[in-house]
Parts: sequence; structure tokens; C-alpha cells
Amino acid sequence: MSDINTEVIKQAQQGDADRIAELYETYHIKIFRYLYYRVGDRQTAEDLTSEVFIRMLRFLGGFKPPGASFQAWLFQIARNICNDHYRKLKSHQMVPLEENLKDQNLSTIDTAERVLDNAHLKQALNKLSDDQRDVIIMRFIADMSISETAQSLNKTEDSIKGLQRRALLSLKDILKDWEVSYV
Amino acid sequence: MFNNDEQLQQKLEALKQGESLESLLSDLDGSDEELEGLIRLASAIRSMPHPEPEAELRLEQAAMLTPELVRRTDLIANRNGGSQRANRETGFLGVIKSNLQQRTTRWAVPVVAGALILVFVFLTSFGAGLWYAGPRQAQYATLQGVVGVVEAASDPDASEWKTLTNGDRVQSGARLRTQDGASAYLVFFDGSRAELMENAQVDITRLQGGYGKLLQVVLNQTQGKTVHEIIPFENPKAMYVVYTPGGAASVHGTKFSVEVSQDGRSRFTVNHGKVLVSNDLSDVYLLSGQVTSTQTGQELEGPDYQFTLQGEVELIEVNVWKVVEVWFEVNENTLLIGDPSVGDRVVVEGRILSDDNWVADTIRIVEDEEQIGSFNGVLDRTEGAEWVIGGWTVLVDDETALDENLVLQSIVRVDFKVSEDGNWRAVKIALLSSPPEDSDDHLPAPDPGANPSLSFEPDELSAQTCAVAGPAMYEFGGFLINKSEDPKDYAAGVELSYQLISGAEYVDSVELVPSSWERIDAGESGNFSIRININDAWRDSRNGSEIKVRVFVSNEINRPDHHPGRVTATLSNYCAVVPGDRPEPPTTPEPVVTPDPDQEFEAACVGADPHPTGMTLASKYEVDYDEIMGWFCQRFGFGEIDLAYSLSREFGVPVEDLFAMKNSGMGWGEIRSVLQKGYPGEDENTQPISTPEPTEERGDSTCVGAQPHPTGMTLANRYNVDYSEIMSWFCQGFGFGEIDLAYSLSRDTGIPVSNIFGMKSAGMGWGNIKKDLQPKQPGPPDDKGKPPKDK
Repeated sequence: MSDINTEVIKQAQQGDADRIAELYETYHIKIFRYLYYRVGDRQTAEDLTSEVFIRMLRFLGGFKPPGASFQAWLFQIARNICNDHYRKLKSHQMVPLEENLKDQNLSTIDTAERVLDNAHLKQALNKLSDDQRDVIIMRFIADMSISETAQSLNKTEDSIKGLQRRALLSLKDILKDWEVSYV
Repeated sequence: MFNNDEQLQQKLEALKQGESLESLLSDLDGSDEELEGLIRLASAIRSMPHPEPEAELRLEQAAMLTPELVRRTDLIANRNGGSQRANRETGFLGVIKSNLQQRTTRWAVPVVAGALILVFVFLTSFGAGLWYAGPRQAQYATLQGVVGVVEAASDPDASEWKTLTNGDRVQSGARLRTQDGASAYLVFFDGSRAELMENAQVDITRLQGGYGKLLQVVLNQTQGKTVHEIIPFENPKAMYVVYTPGGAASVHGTKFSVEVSQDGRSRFTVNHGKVLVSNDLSDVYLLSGQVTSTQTGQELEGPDYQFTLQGEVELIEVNVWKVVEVWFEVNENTLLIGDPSVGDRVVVEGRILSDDNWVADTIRIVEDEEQIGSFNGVLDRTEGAEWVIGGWTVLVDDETALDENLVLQSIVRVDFKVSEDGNWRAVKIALLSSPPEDSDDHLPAPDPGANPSLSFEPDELSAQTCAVAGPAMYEFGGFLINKSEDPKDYAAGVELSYQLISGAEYVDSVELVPSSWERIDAGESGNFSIRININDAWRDSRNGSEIKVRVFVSNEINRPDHHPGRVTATLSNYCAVVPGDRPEPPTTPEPVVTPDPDQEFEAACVGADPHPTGMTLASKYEVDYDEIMGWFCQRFGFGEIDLAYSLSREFGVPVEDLFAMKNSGMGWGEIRSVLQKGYPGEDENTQPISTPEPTEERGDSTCVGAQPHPTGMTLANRYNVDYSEIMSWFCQGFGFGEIDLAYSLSRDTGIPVSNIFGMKSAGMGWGNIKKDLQPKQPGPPDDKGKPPKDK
């Protein structure tokens, strides 16, 4: 999906509540999904989604269209909030995400007929590097363009294309090991 | 490698543009198995269903975003002269809600059948408890904007403090404190929020909510400053009360702040809306821009308009200081923060007294170099460049930012700078509150010659109660008398308001019936009731706990400032179980006992604990818990009671009639069938659900209608008494279910039915009446190990 109209953003920057609601309506599901696949549980993803939009409101005046992608900017916020979340987890010595995911999904992996679903995907994505995981989520779940993904991750478009291919290859291998079908 | 990356991207782009997967893969012709696998995988990820946040969450998030949105639009409006405020809340939340409704409508038709089944299963298994508890997020507040060290203890007596971060949630019973330089927002589920400034300490004595935007917050602030921004309440049971050592503030949608100094002095200021501040000695209604302060045990001061000065301390002459060329008084109540002296940069917050004296409440040292003053007041006159606000003249020029909707008698805030010639030049004049609109046509016009004298009789009402189980309602009656003798001294447009002086954490709602009179003539009076609905927390309150409700005249058209009278209703808990007094649990293991259905019934019918399903049904059909339990105690199952009320609502037939039909031997299916064919007793006067008002007589049409009431006839026959006797109780406000129960108890115990109704009128619940009337049997304490309550 293409980025939102720059006029909407300008009006939102002027405090137009309807336009701000439009921004929220347009992006909150994508942001929630990104965070869901990053953190692994719905409740945390919901909380972090709220934080993303609070921060969006706070810094909306600093976003400068045209040229920059609003969606990319919003995903940058989401990514930063997600990283903060992990830092906080680490400082509070909480149970690492990997263990949570493992516990949650082992039973799913052990089912007789293994077809790619949210649980498999969530666990498989967790095996990838941060950048690879972000590229998969942004490109195929949030449906962002190469250009927007590059802006969000502060990389060139060529490097995103490379990351995209390597991420898919890694994911394919993981799913193959688990005998999870996606055809 | 680059070619592979590019080739994959081109295929993925083609897929995204709508080319079919089969078509794409056929182009490859099996030549590149790896590429084919990657495209299939990407396609699979793209097309699989991904999780979505729940609709409820969207509203919750929208509510959480609203305060930030308000702050942002305020900033922008301030910058632009204030034009974007109108729809910031309603617009944002409204769009989200509207979109949700549209989405729901699109899906409604195909899923309605399944949804009904799910709703039924949900309600029967979980719904009851959830409905009573309210939405999950209503039971906590979320920390946002945490700066510095913000800590919480799980209860006011706890010694261990936990550091809080953004997103942490706090519940009723928590104690919060902020350290030097720290601050945080408590965001409630409806979007209301409280900001804790540095060195504040607040106990959350109550935090709960329910469906229908019902938020109930009671805070006890012992130190520091808090700023509260409350979304206007839509639910009459909603409450927001802040207690301090000096008094309490309660609001229904406003922005205000509360500051408690170390010596216990409390200061309340209102930025927008109205706030009622009370203590044991006085009440003050604060309007936008006004302030009051008090010390423990003293009357509230004011209300006065507030001022703020920021700049260098230019002079100090004994108790008179000068900042930004403005003189003000510093007295023994002024709080000096940071030991300010001449030459220091400070912010002064204070009050403009009615004698035009400016008195400082707090003076704190700051690093900001800006020199500016501001004060609030009523816009009295605009004469060319000279505007008179609250009696003070300021100069307005082309550079002054003026709000669009300023009219005479508006309450405004003026930001000003002092020019070289000593004049105050307005930098900005902002609207805080518009003048009240003209009175409605039906209300009499104010009569400057009238001098009504309204007072309450009695002015003290009190009752002692054991902490009963479940929700209960206590009712006090009183009179509002116009003691004037001259006929021209009539009181017009009289309105009552109340303030919870103490014990708000135990109160679900307070009703004043009636709460207004169009006119009370000289020598005349109006009677009214104060109904206090209490909640479960009362049961566990300490012995001696009190609920105090202050009722006063909040509005009257003729000389409204001359009605100092008020009445205080006090409810004291004199027999509560004191925590810690409970007996030790038995050391030997209890044998596992299968509950006896009869014992379970008795426990629910006359036991101390409220039955959750009874509570749920009472809430669902908006009737008294006792009414529901009255049917239950007549051996109707909760499922039957639910069905009866549901049928009553659907077909407009009194619920008593339905139970009477059931008692006559009809099955529920048969009853429904009769209703569908057209119930013969249905008429214009039929009330769908009986909700008796204990002190108000029913209207003639329901009470002594020409046709005999079928349920009244049934009861008269059942207990072999005159129909008129049954209907006389009904006409006094008792429901047929209650009448049935009273006669049944009278028959079983030999106690005259009038005595039983007397117990009910005195405030006892039917469960307790039944328990009291049953023969006492010697035996061990009840199975909860509670000691017997004092009498």
C-alpha cells in the first residue's frame, strides 16, 4: 500500500483530530502486527502499539513531508520502542523472549500436520537476525515497499533486496527443518 | 548474487502488482528451484491471516491517545491563537468509534447467528463475572511519560517500593510517590489522567470502572502537586475525588490541580470547568481560573482568582515582595521553595483576594529567564486599547493574541509584560470560560429585590450500620425550607449538589431525589431524600469508618450567595470485622464436603456474602439486588429469574405476573407462547420491570386502577387476605415479590407482616431480615470462621 497523502499529514500536524484518527486507523494494525511478531505476545504488542502512537503524536511536528515516507518513519518509531522494550527486559532480568516463544510453540510444532501458521512463523522469525526479521515483517506482513523498508532500517535499497533474499532463504531452511509446509 | 536479489525482487513486485503465483512460477519453468521456493514462501506469508488487535483495544488506545492529542492541539492552538480545539476529543474518538461501527455492520449479517450462540455461551460461563467487574482496563491506570524515579508500594502500609516505568499498571490500593525532579502520568481507561509532579505522594484508595464509561477514582494526596485532566463523565455513577489533609475536591469533567505542602496546607486550582472543594467546615465551588486553599481544620479560603509571576525578585520589604514590577504579599502560609531572595529568578503562584490584595501561596526558584506575569479574572470592560479584567487594566495592541470567542463577562487568563512606563501590556488573553447562557424561558428571571432564606432541616443526619453483605442503599430524608416570610422572597431554580466529605471509596453512587425545584415560596418547604448506594468494600472497612455526604444548595436564582445552609448525612460502620481480628484458620485439615444444595441455597438466600449471579442479574436489569434475591429466596432459579426479567423486558409484562404464571403451574415455554399470542393483562399502565421506589408512593394509575392487578389477586388468594391489603403495600412502594416474601415470612415465623415491612423500611435487606427472623440455633461459627458481629 502506498504511503498516506501528505495533505493528511500536514493537517494532522496542525492538530486536526480527524486526520490524526485517519493516521491511527491506517497504520495501527500494521504496527501491531510488526510488534506482535517482534515481541511474541499479544498483550505486550498491544501496549507497545499504544506507545508508538503516543510517540507519533509527540513528534509529529518534526516529521517533514514530502520526500520522507510517513509509514517508514512510523515503523522507525516502532522499531525503537521495540528495542527499548528489550533493553528494559534485559535490565529487569526477565525471562528472555526466546524462551517464551519456545514454551509457547513447542506443542504447535509437534502437531502431526504442520502447515505454516502464525505460531510457526513467529517462532521461525525469532531464529533470524534482527534485520532479516524486520525485512520479512515489513515487506510481507506490513506490505511496505523496498524504499520504505530501506528508510525504516536506515539502509540502501540494494542492501534491503539482499537482506530480503537471505531472510527468505533462512526462513525456508528453518521451516524445512521443522517440516512445516507453506505450499 | 546481486542478480539473484534483483530477480527475486522483480518477481515479488510482479506478484504484488497482481500477477498470479502460477503465472510467475510458470515463467520460471522449473529452472530455478531456489527462486521458486522463495517466491512461494513470500506469497504464503503475505496471504496468510495475521493477528489483529481487538476492537476493544482500539477504543482503549484511542482513549489513551486523547490526552496526548489534547496536549498537542493545545500547543498548536496556543501557537496559532487557539483554533483547533473544538473537535480534538470528540473528533478523534468519534472517528475510531464510527469506523468500528461501520466495520461491525459490514460483518454483522453473516455472523449474527453464530455470534448469538457465542454470546449466550460467554454470558452463561464468564459474562456474569465480567459484567460485574467491568472492562479489564478500567481496573487499573497506566503509567505514561515517566521521568526520573517514580515508585509504588502495593499498599499504603508497605515499606518496599518498586520503581515504575512507562506502561506499568497500578491498581486500587497502591501508594505512589515521585522523587526530586520526577513526574509521571496516570492514564485511566476513559482517557482521564492525573499527572504527579515531583515529590508527590498519592494513595489510590479506589480505582474501578464499568461498562458505559463508568470510572470511579478516589485518591488520597498527602504531599506534592498533582494535575488532573478529567474527560467529562457520561455516567451518573462516575466519580473522581481527591482527598487532601485540608479538604476534598470532586469533579465531573474538568482540569484542575491539587498541591499539598509539607505542613499539610492544601491548594486547589481550576484550569477549566468547575470543581467543588469541601471540608468539614465549608464548601467552595471553584470556576475556571479560581483557587482556594486551606489548612487542616480551617475553613476554605476564597474562591479567588489565581495569578502567576515569573521573573527576578526585585525587592523585599518585610512581607511585601516585588516581581516583574508587581507587588504582592508574603505571609506565614506562603511556601518558599529553595530559599529565594532578592536577585533570584522565581515563579510565584498566588491569589488575588477580594480586597485586590495579591497574596503568594508558593514561591520557587527557577532557571528560566523569561519575565512574564499572568492573572485570571472576569472580562469587565473593553474601552479601546484598555481592557479591564477583574478590576485590573491591561493594554491591548496588535501584537496581543486574543482568543476568538471573548465576550464581556467571560473568565479569561491574561499573560502580560510590564512596559517601561509601568503599564501592563497584554501578550495574550485566553478564554477560560464563557459567561453562563441566559436562563431558560420557563425559569423565573432573577429578582434583585427577593431575599429567600433556604436552610435544611435537620442539618445533621446519621445512621449506624453493620457492614452488610453486597450492595446496599441507605436513605436519609430531609426538608429544604424557605424561612423567609415575605411572599416576594421566593426561591427560584433551586438545585442541590452533594460532596463526599469522606468514605468515597465505599460509595457506588449518591442520588438526591429530587435534586431541583422550580420554585420554593416563602414559608414553604420541599422534602428530599439522600440515597447512598454502598459497595462491597464497606464490609471490610474498619470499625468506625464513616461515609459523609454533604448536601448544599448549588444554585438558586434570587441572591444565590445567601444560602449557607447544608446538611451532612453520616453513615458509620460500627460492627465491621477489624482486619487481624479474624480467628486463626484451623490447624487440622478440613474434610472435603460435597456442598448440600439446600445449604448452598440457604447461604445464598440469607448468607453474609452477596451471590455473584444475583449481583449480575441486578446489574443487568437495573433492579435492586434484594429484588432479585427475593425471587431466589422463593426458590426460583437464577436461570428462571433471568428468563423472567428478559421476557418482562421483551413483552412489557410485569415480572411479578410472569412468576405468578409460573407458580400457577405453567412452564416457561407455555408462558412465552402466551406472551407471543398477546398477554391479556397488557395495558398502557403496565411497567416492563418493577423497580420499586421505597419512599415514593406509586401513581394512582398503577396503584388503584379500575382493573384488579392479577398478581395482587394471586397474593391475596395465596395468603387469604384482602386484595386491598396487598395493594396497600404495593402502593407504599413494595414490589409484589417483596410482598410475597414478607407474607411468606410472616406465615412461617408468626411475626406481623407490618413489622417485617418495617424492618425493610429501616434499611435491612431481605436476606438479613430472613436471617434475623429465623430461629437461632446454637452451633459453631460459620464455615468462613468469622466471629459473630457486634450488635
